[in-house]
Amino acid sequence: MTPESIEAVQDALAAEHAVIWGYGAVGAAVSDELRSVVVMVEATHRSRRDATADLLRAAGAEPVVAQTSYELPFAISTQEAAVQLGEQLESGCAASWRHVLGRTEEAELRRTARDHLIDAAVQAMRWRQTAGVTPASVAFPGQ
Amino acid sequence: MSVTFSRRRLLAAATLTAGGAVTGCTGGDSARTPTPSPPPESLDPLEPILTGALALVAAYDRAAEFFPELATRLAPLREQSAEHVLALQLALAVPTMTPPSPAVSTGTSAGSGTGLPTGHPGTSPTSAPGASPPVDPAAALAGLRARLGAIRSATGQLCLTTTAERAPLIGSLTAATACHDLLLA
Repeated sequence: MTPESIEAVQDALAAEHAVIWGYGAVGAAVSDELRSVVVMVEATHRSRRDATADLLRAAGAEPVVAQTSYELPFAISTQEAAVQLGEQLESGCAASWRHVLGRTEEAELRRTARDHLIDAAVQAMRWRQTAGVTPASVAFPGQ
Repeated sequence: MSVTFSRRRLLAAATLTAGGAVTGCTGGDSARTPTPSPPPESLDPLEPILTGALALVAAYDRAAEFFPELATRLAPLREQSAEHVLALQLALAVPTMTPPSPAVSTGTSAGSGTGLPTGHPGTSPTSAPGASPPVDPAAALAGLRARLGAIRSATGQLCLTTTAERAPLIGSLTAATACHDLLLA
């Protein structure tokens, strides 16, 4: 991996850390039914975080660590706000992985970033569907 | 570093069709083509993607026309697909600083399995002149999903090999197409 691609992957890892933290706030503000969804989605991000850290170590880089605390973009006091945050978390995640695509020429890293972009885009769409937002898709996920 | 303009390629291709001079400059030739036209393998890999995207927009319009009850559901997907067309056209209009790699180019020649419908742009069982329209809304949706699947496959593959400049756009198209497919499920 080039220094440029390592930097981009580090940024994506930092985003995953933030997303995992953010889902803690989301889970605390939703119904039991939605919380089980949050748990599953958060687990996906945790394993992606771990895989990304492994990728960086294999490239000789020390993976960035999570911050001790993050700032919420808005108060999460209702389920509606929590679902909206979920969508924003996934959109931000999509943007990070989309950014990696433009910072590497390696097919395997492109594949990884592409797949994470797709997963984040789909999950963002699921949150919009949960919120009743239409259309549930966006034209350029991650942009 | 070479700069590739798709317009140059199109002009050269038109000359190839008109003069057939790719076999060389023999005596008595009209000499309209002082240089041989580029071989088909130098086709910009975005061209077949654009063809598929245009055909998809047309398919959305046909489905909404035949089955107005689908129109509300299809409209936002159709609009987003039209935005994809514009983005692809813009990307094709920008001169690229590096030529497509041979591995990419040969993979996009007709019939090589890019996953896109082969044949003339817009041609499919449901769009060929005189072809029968989709039987019912379910068939129309199935047809749209088939197109989306092919586009997702083609853009997903291109994402791995295209330039770093184009990869983010192609990645977004892959992701959007995956989402659209799920919305029509």
